[in-house]
Order: sequence, then C-alpha cells, then structure tokens
Amino acid sequence: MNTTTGNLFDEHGRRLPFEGMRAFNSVSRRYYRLNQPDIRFETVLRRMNKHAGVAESISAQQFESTCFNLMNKAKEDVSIRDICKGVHVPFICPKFVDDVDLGDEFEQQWLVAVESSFAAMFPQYHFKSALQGESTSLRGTLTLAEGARYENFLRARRQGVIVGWYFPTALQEYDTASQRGQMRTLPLPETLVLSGGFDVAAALVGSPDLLINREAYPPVLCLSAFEHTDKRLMMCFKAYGLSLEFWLLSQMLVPGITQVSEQWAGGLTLFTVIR
Amino acid sequence: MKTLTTLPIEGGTVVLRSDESRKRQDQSKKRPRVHEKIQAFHRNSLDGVISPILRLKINRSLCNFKCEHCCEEPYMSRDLKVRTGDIDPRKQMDIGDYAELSRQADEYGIFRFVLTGGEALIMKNLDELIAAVDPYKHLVILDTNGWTFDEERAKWFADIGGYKAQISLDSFVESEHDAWRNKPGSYKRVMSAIRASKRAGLELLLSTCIVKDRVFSQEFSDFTNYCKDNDVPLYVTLAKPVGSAREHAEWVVTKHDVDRLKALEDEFEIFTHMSPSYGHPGKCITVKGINTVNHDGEIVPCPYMDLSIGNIMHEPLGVVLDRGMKNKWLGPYRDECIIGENMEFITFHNDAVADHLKETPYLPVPYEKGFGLNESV
Repeated sequence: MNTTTGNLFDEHGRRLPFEGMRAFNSVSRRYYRLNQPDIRFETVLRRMNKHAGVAESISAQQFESTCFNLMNKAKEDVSIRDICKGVHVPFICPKFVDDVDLGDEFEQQWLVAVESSFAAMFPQYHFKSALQGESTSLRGTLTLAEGARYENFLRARRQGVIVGWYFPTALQEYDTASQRGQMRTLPLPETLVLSGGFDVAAALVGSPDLLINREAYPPVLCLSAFEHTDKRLMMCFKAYGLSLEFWLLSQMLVPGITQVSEQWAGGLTLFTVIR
Repeated sequence: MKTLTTLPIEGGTVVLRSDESRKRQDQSKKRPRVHEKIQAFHRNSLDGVISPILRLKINRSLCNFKCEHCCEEPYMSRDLKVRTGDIDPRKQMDIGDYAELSRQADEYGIFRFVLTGGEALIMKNLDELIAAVDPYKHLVILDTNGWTFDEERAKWFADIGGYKAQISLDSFVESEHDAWRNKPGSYKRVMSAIRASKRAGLELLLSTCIVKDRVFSQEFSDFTNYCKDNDVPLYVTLAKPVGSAREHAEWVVTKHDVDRLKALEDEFEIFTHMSPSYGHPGKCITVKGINTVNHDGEIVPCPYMDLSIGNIMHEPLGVVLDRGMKNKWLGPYRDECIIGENMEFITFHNDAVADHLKETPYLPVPYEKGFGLNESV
C-alpha cells in the first residue's frame, strides 16, 4: 500500500490506499465502471432549476467558469491533482438558510428531485427508494459522520449557492470506515469533503444518466458523509439494470465484520460558494 | 409498501413484494416454524446473518433427460461410467445425513430446501428424503422437468408437505423446447404438470434458461405473456459456460440481456436469482442466497459452479457457510452473476475445474484447490 504524502490518487483518480485502510484491492481491477458523463453546464443547470429549486439568477456561464476555476486550482495541488483524472460530475446546490433535519430534507426534497429528473430522462425505467431496518422514514435518523468534513458543506450553503465537482469513484472499493478515515490525510479541509446525501443527489439530478452503463456494471455510490443512527446501515444510490435505486442497506458482511466490496464506491466532493 | 412522502419509499422491517407478504401470512398458519425463521432472518440480516436456500442434488443426479445446456452431466453416473467405467465411489449422503443436515439448517435459521438432480422425482425413496428434511420446518421445493409430474404425483407431493414445484420450460415453442431437452413430448408434459400443480394447490413457478439474445425474441415475449395471463411466475436462469455448455461461449448472456430482463421485471412476474427479494436488493447470491449440496456433501455456493467451499459430512454447515461468506469472490456485495457474466471469474473457475479433472474425474473441486486459492476478507 502507498504511504507517500505526494500524489494521493492514481491515474484513474482513485485514492491510493495506505496502511490502515481497508480496501478490496490495492490496485483496482476497474471491473465496475462509470462512464464520464457529457458535461453540459446549461443542461445540468436547467435540470436543477426544474427539479431542485436552484435560483434562475445563476447563469450557465457563471456555473461553468466557477467549476473550471475550482478544477484548475485542484490541479495545482500536487497531492490531489490526479483526482481530476477520474470521473467528475459538476453539480449545483441551492442556497439553504434553514437548518432542517438531514433525513427529512434528503427524503422530502432530494430523493424527490432525483426521481423527478431520472423519470424525465428515462420514463421507461424505474426509480425506487427502499429502506432496510425498522425505519419507515429517514426523518431523525441521520447525522454527519465524524471526520467527513460535511459540516463545511452545510455551513457553506447557508452563504450562497454551492457549485462543484463530485468525484464518485475516488474511494472505490474502500469500506465505509476507511472512506471516512482517509479524510484526515487530505488537504483543502474547507472545500474537499467526503460525499454525502445532498451533493450526490444534486449530481444525479443534474446528470441522471450517471449510473447508466450499458457495457459494464457501474459502482454503487455510497453517501458515507451521512451516518444512520443504526450503525449497521449505509446509504447508497445504485443501478438495477438501467433503473436507479436508493437503498438504506446493511453494511454487515457477516456478524461482526463489515462489507468491503469491489463495487462500493465512496466519493469526494470539491466545492465553492457563489454568493 | 408505504407512501410516506411524495415519493413511495419501500420500508419497514423488510421490503416485500405483495406476493411475498401473502405467502408469509400463509406460512404463519401452515408452518409456524418457517414463519418464525423468516421473521428472525429479517431481524438478523442487518447483522449479516444469512439464510440461503439449500439446493440438494440427490440420487447421484440421476436424470431421465439429456438436455443440451445441462451443467449436471459430469456428476451423473452415466457420464462417469463412460469416462471411468464406474460410478462415483465417494460416500454419498444417505437419509440419516439429510436428516442431520436438516437439523443443522434449522438451527442455522435456514427455511428453504430445493430438491433437484438430475430429475428429483425419479428417486425411489423420495418420500423418505422429504420426511428427513422435514417439510413443516422448511419449505420444500421440487425442481422437475415435469415428465412424470401428473395429477397423482402432484397431489402426492402436496400431501407429504411439498410447498412448491419449479417446472422447467426452455422455449414456448413446443418443437424448440423438445429439441433443447432432447425429449419429444416433453413440452406437452410440462403443460400438464402446470395444470396438475395448480389443482394440487402447490405454489408454482416455471423456470427457463436463457441464452444470448433470447430475451429479445418473439418467443420469449409470448412466453412472458403466457405466464402473466396464467398467473405463473417465471424464474429465468442464465446459460453458463459450464457442464455441457462449456464449449458454448456463444450462449453466454451479456449485460444487454440482463438489463432487458431487469426491465421486464417491472412489467411481468419474472425474476432471476439476482432479483430483489426478501427485502434485499438485486445482487449475486453466492453463499448468502443459495448453496448446492452435492450428493457427497460438498457445498457449492451457486447452482452453476463446480468449486466447493467445504463438505458438510466433515464439518458443521455453519463453518462452511462462514468460510464461503469471507471468500472475496463470494461474500462481498456485487451485482453481476459471476459465473454467468464475469469473464475473469469464469476463467478462474474453468481453469480450476480443468486442472482438477486432470487428477480425478470427480467434481466439485475441493475447497483447497479452488476457492481456497483466493483471498479471504
């Protein structure tokens, strides 16, 4: 396993596992693959306007230039520049002043927006949400995972519209604990966070075809910045054929041992605020 | 399923299809121990507890058919006699061994046994075997080609506690089915067996094997419409490049076929071994969802593999299953059918089988020479 403090990502934008990390393979076979979506800022923005309530005062040009500035800054940092070689998905999140329950917001707003955007693009396939466990709702069940830095994301969105990049395969094959644990060694503590529910959902609203791959199986997208009150559970978006599903799912492989799956992928999110 | 928001969220203790809910209600009355185990499984599966189907290959896989795509032929005495001049000399499981397996399975929380072969119905003392696995502690499901499953036989199976018949139909075109099965008249017998199963009050499903592109054919469309019109669930298996089909790579399905199947699940009561069920998402179910018990006690973690994870005549069932779950190919979550779609696994599997067959004619490959070569979690 890599222990250098130089370049932290491989040529496919995956975080190099280091000692103490639990990953399915040190070097990924890349069996589970995402296609790089076409990046059309105008289309992404239009979907976010329609399905997720992003203010129409933000222009596509503003969205695009801010994203590329962010990407260029990341490329200047030798430790993280190669993350940009991986799949990268632009997203935009509306300003959000009120503090609400994480589960409530995710369920009532974001899952609805993902479903709406996916159905508009793929009316022939299904979107469904399923919860394992005793819960019949996510309300009151979610907190921020320690070390995920996601509080910075929530703080920033109170200041304005968030734009940025979601890197969905940056932590592919890492178990949930290692997705969270590796965050302590990453730079840019204010603007590079472990991906969670809102940013990943926003990326899927903007690019509802992200998990559509007709040639290869896509990874399961983990929302590991969010933690369920039942620690046995994790949250993810996954494809089922060409359909899209959200699952609250057990992460236990066998009693006492959590999954470490070749297909599960934690993501990283790089963002900034447009005030 | 409950509608809690503008978006339907499937939630609660489990995520059940409507037919699963109905069947569970039935089991609480007919087979309270089964109901109890299903409830326990749903409570405990969040901890990683599994309750896989145990698929018993009985009677040396004796069969009255010789199908084109059979993966069982290398286990059959007729094939071994041609290759070695004799039948499999290894100790075979007897009724006492099956009773002990049933006891361990019950203790483990397993609630489903499938009886298969070859053709399970041609075993002479099948009633003793069914009694040994205990059809009131477990759901006993019969795999059959339907040839001898007439009204009398269906009633007999229901009367001794049988739960479900799984009848194989490989094409909705009579001549094609009979050709795949190398058995003229078998299509008509399947149709009779369907009627017989319904009259006997058995749960019923049809199973069919798809080769590449079949899901896009008119024949398959007619087949699915027949199943819908007659309220018969259709279980679809994917042709695997193993057994008699090892030389038929052209049969292997692609993701294109599988995606089409998954889309059809929204419209028809079609499912594969990878379909969402019992509150779990669709995924490969090696070890966690199904295991085959060979006649010599070797546990194979998929009906279409020839590699063992241990022998329950030599060690406890729980130890074998735990070993399987920790194997990197078998336990961790993955969506695809590894023996049907993942060429790296198929190559590993078939190479291990080929190497083993150079030393001995008997399958499956023991753990040490197959899965034991992989890393564990």
